[in-house]
Amino acid sequence: MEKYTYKIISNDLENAGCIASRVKKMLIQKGIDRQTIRRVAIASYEAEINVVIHSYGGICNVIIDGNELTLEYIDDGPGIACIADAMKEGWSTASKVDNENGFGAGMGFPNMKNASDKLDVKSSPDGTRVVIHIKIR
Amino acid sequence: MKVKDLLKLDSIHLLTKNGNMNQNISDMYTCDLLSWVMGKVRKEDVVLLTVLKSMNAVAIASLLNLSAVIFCEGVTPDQSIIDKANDENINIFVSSKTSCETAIDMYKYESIL
Repeated sequence: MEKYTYKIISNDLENAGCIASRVKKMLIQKGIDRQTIRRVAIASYEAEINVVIHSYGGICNVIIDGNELTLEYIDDGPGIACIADAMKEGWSTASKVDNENGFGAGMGFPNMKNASDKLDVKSSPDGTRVVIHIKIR
Repeated sequence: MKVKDLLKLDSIHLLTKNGNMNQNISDMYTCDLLSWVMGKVRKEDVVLLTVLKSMNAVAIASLLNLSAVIFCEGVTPDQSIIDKANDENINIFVSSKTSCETAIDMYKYESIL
């Protein structure tokens, strides 16, 4: 089993997506198929952006265990008020500044769900934990 | 159509130097919401037309293997965005026309190739 941990800084819009990019490059080096890499790129980008624009900061764990790839995002809050709402296409609480930077389409969780084999989201005011499971073909 | 063919369009200018000019162009997509692009662009080698001057357009281009990003209506990305695109081997162009007009120009050119 391999595990990599990355720190995600709140409101660092300039570097948002860098971890997704590093994960993608790592998977290319491992010779993983393009379709799987594409799904990982989409899911990891969206999850990372959510931590950057919505949370006080957090971490990302990437775990590769055989043909199971797990992306785990843990942040320090303030949490998601209603996860069912966040799963709806077009639903967003992004700020005006986020919108000006092209975020806030309300497609984050829908994209994560479509790109993954399994998506788990748990949230409280103390923090959110998003776990994305993707099978490597 | 390949990326280098874009150089033949008067309204479009290349800003980067490290991208693959021989990359194919499979399609065009115009949008200014990044997660929308992330969720809807299903093919590789797509050109994104946008007015969103954001570093994250480069991240999206890299993650989705886009052929190029064209910033339209004269929106010129900051040098930091161009530098990042060069680091990531992404092609960045600027167009003086709107996204729609630029797409039409590309479509017309494609039809004569």
